[in-house]
Amino acid sequence: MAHKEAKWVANDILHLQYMVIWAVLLVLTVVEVIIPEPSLVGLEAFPRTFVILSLIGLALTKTILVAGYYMHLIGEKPAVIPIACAPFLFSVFLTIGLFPYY
Amino acid sequence: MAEMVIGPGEESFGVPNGKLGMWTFLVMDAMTFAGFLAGYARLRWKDPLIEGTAWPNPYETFGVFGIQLTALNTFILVCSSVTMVHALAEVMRGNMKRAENWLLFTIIGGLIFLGIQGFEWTHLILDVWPYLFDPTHSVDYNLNFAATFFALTGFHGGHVSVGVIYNLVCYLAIRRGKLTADDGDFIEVAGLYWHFVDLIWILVFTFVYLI
Repeated sequence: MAHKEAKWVANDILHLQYMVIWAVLLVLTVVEVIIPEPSLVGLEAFPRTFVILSLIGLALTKTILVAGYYMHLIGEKPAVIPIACAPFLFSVFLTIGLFPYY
Repeated sequence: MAEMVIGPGEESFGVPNGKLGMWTFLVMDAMTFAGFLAGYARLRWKDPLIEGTAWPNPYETFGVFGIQLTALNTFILVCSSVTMVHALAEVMRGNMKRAENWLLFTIIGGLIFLGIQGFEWTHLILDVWPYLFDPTHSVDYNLNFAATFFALTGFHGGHVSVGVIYNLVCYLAIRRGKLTADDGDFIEVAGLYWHFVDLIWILVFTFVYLI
């Protein structure tokens, strides 16, 4: 399968990239655990709004890294991108629809 | 419009049908999880009707050890995602023996995750929320927390179980020579499912355990 070999010619680079992403995910997980309970590292408690927003930001960063690099969305055929992004769009509508306005 | 050809090995819009099918399934699955998470968020957002029944702080319910154990579980699932991409990379290289080993590590990672989750569930049911099974206990926000917790983590745990079986089938197929280096698409589709399970856990861990 010559075309597959050509597609995976950058295999060594991919291996390195996978490990870099793995290390980043590990660091972000540790940061996530510390933010709601900063006394674990001897810090004062953060404001609640900061905690919620930063945790959501970190979680979204991690999901984008997994989807982009491990699920190979970066470099994927254009047809797959809108399919993969559809749930995020629908989730935003769902969340807005469910939240109270009073 | 691009020509559609029916068959798992064929392509539509330049994408293998198997991969397109898995992505379509994952969209549906992601929406189901989105419903669970949005419902959970909506319940938490509401002020308690009875004073003193506010949504519990996860750090107090699970304890620092419980959170750290689940963080370890998150790390194990992320590691099993890495072993899965290595398995795919080795299949593409044609090194099936190494692919087989990476896939075995992935399966073991999934089993460890399920084991720790089973331990956590047992502890929560027996020690933290024993009144869940007491019919005389009144409803409070702790029950909402417990219900959404078990719904979210249970639905996800079911996905991990299916993923372990899926990976086991791929592992045995490679071992018996039924999946070869030319069948990388099959492992890629299995990998998509496994990474999705990891991706969803990242969100569940953040929303249920940390916020």
